[in-house]
Amino acid sequence: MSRDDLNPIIREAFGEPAEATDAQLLQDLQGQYPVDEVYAQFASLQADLKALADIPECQLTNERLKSAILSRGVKPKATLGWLRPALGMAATVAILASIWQINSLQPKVQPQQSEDVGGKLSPIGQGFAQKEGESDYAELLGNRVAEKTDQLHTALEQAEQDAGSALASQQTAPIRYSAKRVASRAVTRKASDIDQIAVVANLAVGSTLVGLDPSSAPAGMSTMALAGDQSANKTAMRGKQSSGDSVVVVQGSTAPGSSVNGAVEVKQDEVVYGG
Amino acid sequence: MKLFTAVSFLIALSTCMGQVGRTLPIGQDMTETWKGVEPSIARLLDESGQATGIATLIDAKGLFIAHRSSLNGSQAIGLLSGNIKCELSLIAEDKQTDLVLLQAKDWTEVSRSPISVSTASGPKVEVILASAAGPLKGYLTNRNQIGIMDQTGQSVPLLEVQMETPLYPVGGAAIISKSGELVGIIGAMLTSPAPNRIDLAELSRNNQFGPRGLTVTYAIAPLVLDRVVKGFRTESHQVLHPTIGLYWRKSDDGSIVVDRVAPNGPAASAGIMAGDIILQFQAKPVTDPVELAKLLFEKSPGDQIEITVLRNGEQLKKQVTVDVQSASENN
Repeated sequence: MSRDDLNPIIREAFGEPAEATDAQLLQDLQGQYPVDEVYAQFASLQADLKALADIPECQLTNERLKSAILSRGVKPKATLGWLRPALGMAATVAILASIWQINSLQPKVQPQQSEDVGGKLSPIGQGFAQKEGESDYAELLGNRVAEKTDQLHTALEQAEQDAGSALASQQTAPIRYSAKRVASRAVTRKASDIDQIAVVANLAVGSTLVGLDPSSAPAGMSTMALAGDQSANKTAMRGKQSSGDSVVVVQGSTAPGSSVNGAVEVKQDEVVYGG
Repeated sequence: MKLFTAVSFLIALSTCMGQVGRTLPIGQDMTETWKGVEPSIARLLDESGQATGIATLIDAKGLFIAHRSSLNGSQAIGLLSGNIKCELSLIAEDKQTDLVLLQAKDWTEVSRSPISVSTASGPKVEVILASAAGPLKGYLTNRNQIGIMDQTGQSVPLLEVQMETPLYPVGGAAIISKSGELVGIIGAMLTSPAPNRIDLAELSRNNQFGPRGLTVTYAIAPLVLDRVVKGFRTESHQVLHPTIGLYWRKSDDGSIVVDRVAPNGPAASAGIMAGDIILQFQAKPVTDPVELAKLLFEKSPGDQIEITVLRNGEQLKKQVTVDVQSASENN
């Protein structure tokens, strides 16, 4: 799916005004690509970024999210196209080869009725015969075929995935502008923090905060204000954040226990400025 | 265990009560300053007589400036020194800063001097916070922050004020310098971070957070406050904030990228588009988004700005005329 093909989907996913040709383009694409899946991926990525971003909601504009998503590149489920028949043929050949291999064992198994038949068995049949005996052999052979088939299916699935990844990587990432992923970086950092949230919550609730080993602090955590019920301890906050690396986002909602607006400090690189 | 919990609760309660009842004194020299400005400060009372905030006299005609949060509705009773009361009505509002203009009805208190706007500087300057609870001691820090207003998305210069009065209602308090001039009006307070934002390393070294910690608040810097006061003093009471309708951020590669432009705004009219990389401002390279914000703070409506952007590998010079931000302009 080319970037031009993606554009009408992007416009729809991000609520941008549709262009005159969008409806026709989307209709044409429906027959060739999983348009609905691509649209769903854009929409879910947008929601995920909003949920994970470590910055105030007011700073997560549609434009910014779009930039983050597009620069990261969306890899819709690959359509195998002409590779599908080829893979099908390869699978058929592999299955036939496997059946031939299994059938080739049969004549060697049948002489099992003689006393020395065990010594003539192929390693596979020998193992079965020695362990289970003749009456169970057919069942074990069936299991073996099933096992082989499973392996083939697994191999095929892997091949499909590899082919899909190859196709996806060949698709040009739809980078509209030279903007890099700001929000996605925040998400990356936040993702590493998520595992630590429970730990932090437990520690924050606990009564023995003093004396914690500083090295136990999650590395990904941003240094923000430490606050009491209605106030924040700026002294603590400044340990890592120098005066130059944060900006204040004045929120529309009031601060708890106060009639004035709340404010949060955010790293300079994580906000959108207006002027 | 229950006894321990009960005792802990009582200790915490007594601590809080002690804080609420304790008035931090202002210094002797500041006491003289307070005496000079007190006649120009009105405590705002609601219908039930409860103090909701303060307003500061900025014009001899009986015009008071206050923060929007200090007002319940559009009317208030102003309680002046000497137990003089006056009726105050909301007549103008600046949405960019949440500051409002109040007009006193039948103003006859002409002996009360309007307070002028000024700056106070220094590494840590002691100031008076004229709050609904009375004069409080505060400190202006030298952290001249850049603020971003959630409601409008606009960047504004902020003053940071710290005080050792965590439980006082300091919202809307007027910041008075030692020379008796208005430096700012408190409009925001640093709030508690989300649990995952607490830095444990710092937490272990500092056992100061909680009721006995500092309160960190923010006020619009005098640069903007002066503009608001001047606008309020005009016949139309309109405040004209400059804008070019441009929103930008830092990209991963360190460049400044245009996030979006306000529809029909000056930047859009000049042909600047989302995704453009800002290279120069007035022919000087800019790489820091904060620096760009500060450069724009200095501009006034009508100024011409040349912004050089990079688009598809091509450098483009755009001429932008600084316009006036309409009150309704929003994100």
